[in-house]
Amino acid sequence: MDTLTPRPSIKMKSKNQEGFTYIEVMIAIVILTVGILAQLSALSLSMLRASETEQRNVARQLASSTIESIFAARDLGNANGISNWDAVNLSDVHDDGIFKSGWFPIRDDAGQDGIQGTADDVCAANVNCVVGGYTNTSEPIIGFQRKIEITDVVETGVPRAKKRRIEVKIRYFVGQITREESLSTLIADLPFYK
Amino acid sequence: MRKFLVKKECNKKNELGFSVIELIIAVTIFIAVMAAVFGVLRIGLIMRDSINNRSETTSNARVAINSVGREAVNAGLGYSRTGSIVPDDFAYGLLKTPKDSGDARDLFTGVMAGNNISSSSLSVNGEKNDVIAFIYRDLNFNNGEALTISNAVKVSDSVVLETPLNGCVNCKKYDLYLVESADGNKALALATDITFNKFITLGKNGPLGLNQKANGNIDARSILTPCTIGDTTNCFKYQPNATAKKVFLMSYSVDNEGTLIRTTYGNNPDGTAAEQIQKQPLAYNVQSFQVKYLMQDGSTSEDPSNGNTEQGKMNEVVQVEINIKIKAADGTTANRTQLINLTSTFSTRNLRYDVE
Repeated sequence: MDTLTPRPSIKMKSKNQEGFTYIEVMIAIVILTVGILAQLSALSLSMLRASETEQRNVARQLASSTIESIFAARDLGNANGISNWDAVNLSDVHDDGIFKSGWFPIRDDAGQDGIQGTADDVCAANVNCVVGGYTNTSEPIIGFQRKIEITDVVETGVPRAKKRRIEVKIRYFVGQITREESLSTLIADLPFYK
Repeated sequence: MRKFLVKKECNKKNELGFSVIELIIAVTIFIAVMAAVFGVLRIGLIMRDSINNRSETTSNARVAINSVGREAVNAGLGYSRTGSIVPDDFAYGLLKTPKDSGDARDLFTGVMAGNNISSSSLSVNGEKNDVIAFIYRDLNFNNGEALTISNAVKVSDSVVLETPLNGCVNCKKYDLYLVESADGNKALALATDITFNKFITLGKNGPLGLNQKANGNIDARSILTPCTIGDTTNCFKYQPNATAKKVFLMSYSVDNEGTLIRTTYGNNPDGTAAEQIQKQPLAYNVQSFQVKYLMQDGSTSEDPSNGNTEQGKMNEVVQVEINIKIKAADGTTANRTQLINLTSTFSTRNLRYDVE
């Protein structure tokens, strides 16, 4: 075959005039490929990290926003001297509790009561949350789930809990990995202005 | 070409090298592979830019929203549960909230709302942005002690508050004060001068248009209540055992270019009169800034004070919900953008408690 015909009859004087061998070329290609793959993987990793940072920040924001909403729930109705303390409970723990327990999607619209984590904004992803005649039509925020935990802080000599521990967990997804942000604080049944 | 393909003297097979055709094929394949690789790399870089822009914009949105939130939480701290007295339409001058009817003095509450006040060049479908203002006490001022006001006198059009000897060593020009009488009446005033560590001058109008003109009768010495029934000239009336506390006042609004601005009023002793309104940009490319309020009766409202006609309602706010939409470049072309939409709620837990 012509293409395999040897090169001109020039006397080789030194080894570096012999060109590259297949092996050398293959090694070079392998090294180049490894380099390019490393670069691509670094790039995709940096994208994943940036995306994770954003997701984590949003998760923290959602958690702190929910905690603020729980504080607001405590202050509802105080104008008439009515304590709303019992409402600061999970609905399956206390009859007056307004917050739903378990993992649920998060909706931007907190519903007609304006409080996050209650029945009018907590329901399965594929349905609208309905409470009485009210329907919350806002879509769930993609990639985030929330769980609220409220537990009494038992104090010696205080028969009825005056403090509760709130923990808000936000689950978010980075690629195929599930991560969790958690924020907790104490809330107290303050004496309020009558 | 044939002449180059003559027999070589070298005997080893691995010294044969490549022919031109081989080289061309190899280079073509290499170019095709590299083009594909760099195509992927380019897409990767664009996506990275896009994610970085998005991440940075989200971060800016969080900073902005948390700045509003921190002040929402502080709102009303050590201030006045029922609000304080300011000149008629004072809020209009500061926040461009609607004017109320009549010329009676107004109430300035821990949170002030302005619904749909102005649109910007980035607004969509004529949507207008909201304005929100907060006021709370500076607890570091004067070691946390309220100033004792022992007397008030009229000097020309100004009212001069008198404190005990060296009672005002921590006072500074352009301090913003909540002046409170013994019977619980409260008014806002801006110090236009401090003299002898003792006298606080409240010059007529002042840089914020806050100070009310002292009138000519004996009650003009006073600080808080109308001089006579039906008097609408906003004079001051002194009552013994008055006090004064320094307060912070700031607002959040979006300007014509779509920049979220935090504006502070007064409390700039090193600045001129004109510099008592200081603007600080918080976030750029803001398409929308909306505030929703949860009231203590459980209702929600975008405009609790009903166009500034029911100012007292603002004391019943228990939660503010801030929604901010910011445009971020998507990394491909300058004109294409992605929208960052962030909503956060903050409890106004200090608004309705009288904390000393």
